[in-house]
Amino acid sequence: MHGVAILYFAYMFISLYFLILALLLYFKNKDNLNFIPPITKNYSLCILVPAFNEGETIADTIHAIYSSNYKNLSQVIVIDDGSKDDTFYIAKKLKSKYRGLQVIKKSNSGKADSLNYALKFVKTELVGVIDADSFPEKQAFSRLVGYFDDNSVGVVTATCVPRNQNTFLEKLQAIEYKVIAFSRKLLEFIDSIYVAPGSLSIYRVKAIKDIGGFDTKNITEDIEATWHILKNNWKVKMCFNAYVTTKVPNKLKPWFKQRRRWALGGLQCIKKYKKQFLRENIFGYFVVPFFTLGLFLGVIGVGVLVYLFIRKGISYFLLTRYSLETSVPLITMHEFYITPSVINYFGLILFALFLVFNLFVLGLMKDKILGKQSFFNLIFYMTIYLLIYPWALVMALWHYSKGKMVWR
Amino acid sequence: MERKNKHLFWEALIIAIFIFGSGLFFGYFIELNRTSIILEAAQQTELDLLDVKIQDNLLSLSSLDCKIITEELIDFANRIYDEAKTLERYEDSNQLSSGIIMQHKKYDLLRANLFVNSLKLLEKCDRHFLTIVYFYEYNTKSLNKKAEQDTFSKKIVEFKETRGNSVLLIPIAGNINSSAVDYVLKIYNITSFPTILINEKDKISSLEDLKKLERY
Repeated sequence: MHGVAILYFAYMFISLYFLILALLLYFKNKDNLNFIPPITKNYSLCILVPAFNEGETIADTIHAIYSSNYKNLSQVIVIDDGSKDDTFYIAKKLKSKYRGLQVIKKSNSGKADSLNYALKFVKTELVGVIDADSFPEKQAFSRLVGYFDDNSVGVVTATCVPRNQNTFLEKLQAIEYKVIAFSRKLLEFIDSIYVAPGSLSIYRVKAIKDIGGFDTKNITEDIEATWHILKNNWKVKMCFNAYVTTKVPNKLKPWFKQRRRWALGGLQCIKKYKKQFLRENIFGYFVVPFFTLGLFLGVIGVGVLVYLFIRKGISYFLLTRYSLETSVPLITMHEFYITPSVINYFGLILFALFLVFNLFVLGLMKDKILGKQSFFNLIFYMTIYLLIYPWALVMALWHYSKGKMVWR
Repeated sequence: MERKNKHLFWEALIIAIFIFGSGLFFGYFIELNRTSIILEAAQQTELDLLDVKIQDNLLSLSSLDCKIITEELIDFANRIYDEAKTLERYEDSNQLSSGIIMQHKKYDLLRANLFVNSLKLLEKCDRHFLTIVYFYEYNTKSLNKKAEQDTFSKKIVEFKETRGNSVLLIPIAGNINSSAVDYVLKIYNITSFPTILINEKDKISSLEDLKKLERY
């Protein structure tokens, strides 16, 4: 068997395995999918809002936080990380309107450092982190805090979806966020949520202190913090019915940079926690290998794609050149035939299975706060959008090898 | 982690192995089926070749019409050529079984045999057709050689389509480790691929000379 064919089969098997795992997780836990723990105790809650040049959205974020129906929201701290715009002034103006709102201005030192700085002022049992371009729904906090009745829970996160779903790229991201949210909820059932994103996650203060705060060296402090929490045997939970909307990139370049940053942060995490690989707990046995495998397959996939593309390109170039030189037709009818290989059949079946899976997820979530998606968008998402993502991985790897750990 | 979820990793693995294994088995079955189609065609071709050979032998004993035998030979070559194209398509798409590669070798030997038979025929009958034997490298890894062979192949097909049954076209892979084919290569001093042998005399081995084919 040809080397590339073996690789195709390996990819297909791994994809099939995770698809089956997801289905089993769903069918065994579907009754718990929409579980919202009742509030038995009104834990005191502080929300941290790190902000850098977020003048456009900061006011709406603060409004959204204060629109919450949670009874014991004691503190909200906005940390202006040296913004060059009017973020600080907008937030400061709102102090008179909202009780307990603190606005801190400091020189730029990054998100993780800003959060660590603000943690010194936290006087509550729980601390939430919300990006300054994210907007929690009214019931979001109330639906999350109930999880903390379990003393082993270190962090709880929400379903995050794009706020802006107008352009084509935004609509594609809407599909992606929904699929991710569903998959993340499924991973919760095996204690393997690998990121409690910064758009909205609530930490037990004891847990965040246990891990020594956020890692300032990591450019995806939320992934790192989640990994550290898992490593220290805390549980990570997610409420499927607690929503937060977030502003997503509407142009390809910032989108690509965002994905590259996520991948770069992921690489930093893999390096930091490589010793946990296949050790101790579910974090070592599943989360680290699963995440590493994802990155590895993405990069190898791009490598194979480039190799095949170059090979085909050279072949076509030579054939065109020789055909022109010898006055031979470039394309003849004899070349148009379809004899599908086993790989074609496998690929088609797998694609159909994933299409059904995605349709199912979108169908499951259509009644929620999220709009409908067109079938074309879904096909484009599965065939083109997901193919671009591995390139961000490759770029991240390149940046990583050069030591360029930059946010933007 | 809840007890009911603990074993899902293994359960998923077992189900994945079962489904994937079934898929591979099914795929192998499809490929075997394709090989058996080719095998059946090859058996028929062998019979046809035997028929042509017998007619050829009868020629010396009786007064059979050279023209008819020549037409049959060319028809047979055309048929064998079409079957080889199907074989090639199956070969390109087969990933699991290797039986079809053996069939390729068999077809090359049949075509070599056909070539020898055409030579025998020409000992007894006048030449009313152009014999084009195209020697190529089977499964070449070189992109340059592959592009060269594809260009040669297209040119020959175009030539055959224009000339129809006045051309006896016999493509033979020159690197299939067959003593008979090696011997043919030695007789006609063919040292590189691709090479077109025309009427057992002239050779075209370079792209620059490919246009010369039109002179025949």
